[in-house]
Amino acid sequence: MWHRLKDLWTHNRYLLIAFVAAICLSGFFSARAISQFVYWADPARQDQTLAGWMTPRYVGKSYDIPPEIILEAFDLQQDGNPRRISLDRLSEEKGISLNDMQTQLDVTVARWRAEQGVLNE
Amino acid sequence: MTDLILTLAADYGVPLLFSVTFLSCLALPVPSSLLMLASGGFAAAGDLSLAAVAVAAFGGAVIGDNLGYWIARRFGPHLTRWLATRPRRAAMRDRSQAFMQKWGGSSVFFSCWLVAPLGPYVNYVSGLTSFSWPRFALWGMAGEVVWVGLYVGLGFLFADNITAISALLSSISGFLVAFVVAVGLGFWLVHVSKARERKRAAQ
Repeated sequence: MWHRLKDLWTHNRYLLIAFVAAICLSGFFSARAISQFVYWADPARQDQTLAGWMTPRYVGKSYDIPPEIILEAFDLQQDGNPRRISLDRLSEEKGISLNDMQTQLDVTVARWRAEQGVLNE
Repeated sequence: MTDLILTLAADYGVPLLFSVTFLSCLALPVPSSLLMLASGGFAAAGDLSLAAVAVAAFGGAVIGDNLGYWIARRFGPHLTRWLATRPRRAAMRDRSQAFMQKWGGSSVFFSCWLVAPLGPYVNYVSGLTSFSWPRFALWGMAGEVVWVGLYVGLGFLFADNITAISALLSSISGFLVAFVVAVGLGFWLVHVSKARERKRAAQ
């Protein structure tokens, strides 16, 4: 084993370095996968913070709330076909910052969830 | 970067997905996995049609694979002549030809989805070594069905947190690629070392 490694180091140095690098990378990626799994499995992180790429309906999916609550939270009118629009565009059109949208959403969602809790009891 | 791609996905939807899977199969560095996950997520939310997403991703991937194959097959002979000018290069070409004869089908299949980052290179090698096109096309399509089904399906299922699932999958995919490369290099190292030992014993 040892003499073989020494032999490879003398004759196939780059190949050996590439091999060791690939092993290290496998270790790195598996550790990262495990830590990400643990991080996201925490129920406290289920509601995603709003991001510009999300669409109102996607937010509804992420927070598990019905469409009319989303319309209310983002102050949207349901006229005609629903549009696919990113929150970035929406915030531009309405002149509200993403932060303010998050605040509005949190308030509306909290109220709706409280109502649901009352209904379920 | 991730946020920019996802915003583009929300704004341009299906045509963007088609272009990106197409380009990624030609080895261009575009985030096709992330986009398939996001499009699956948007389909679950009702912002895109699931059928359109699946067809566009699959169509882009298959067209890209085959274009890569034919580019390599068409322009390959020039490269092959250059490879033949040096004995070591010629030996490498013969070895990859023998490898493709033996393992071509499964290499094409698995490189489409399990180790997708290696996929475009397998397409080029297939074309270069004049691997049978019907076999390439069929194994490739089978692999792309799995690739698209896996990523769009996971995006659809885990639509409530695209960010999490895409981060996790990119780690898993990185691990698989590094692992496959490590195993391949390991075999190669053992092989050259043993060959040298035999040579020494013979002398």
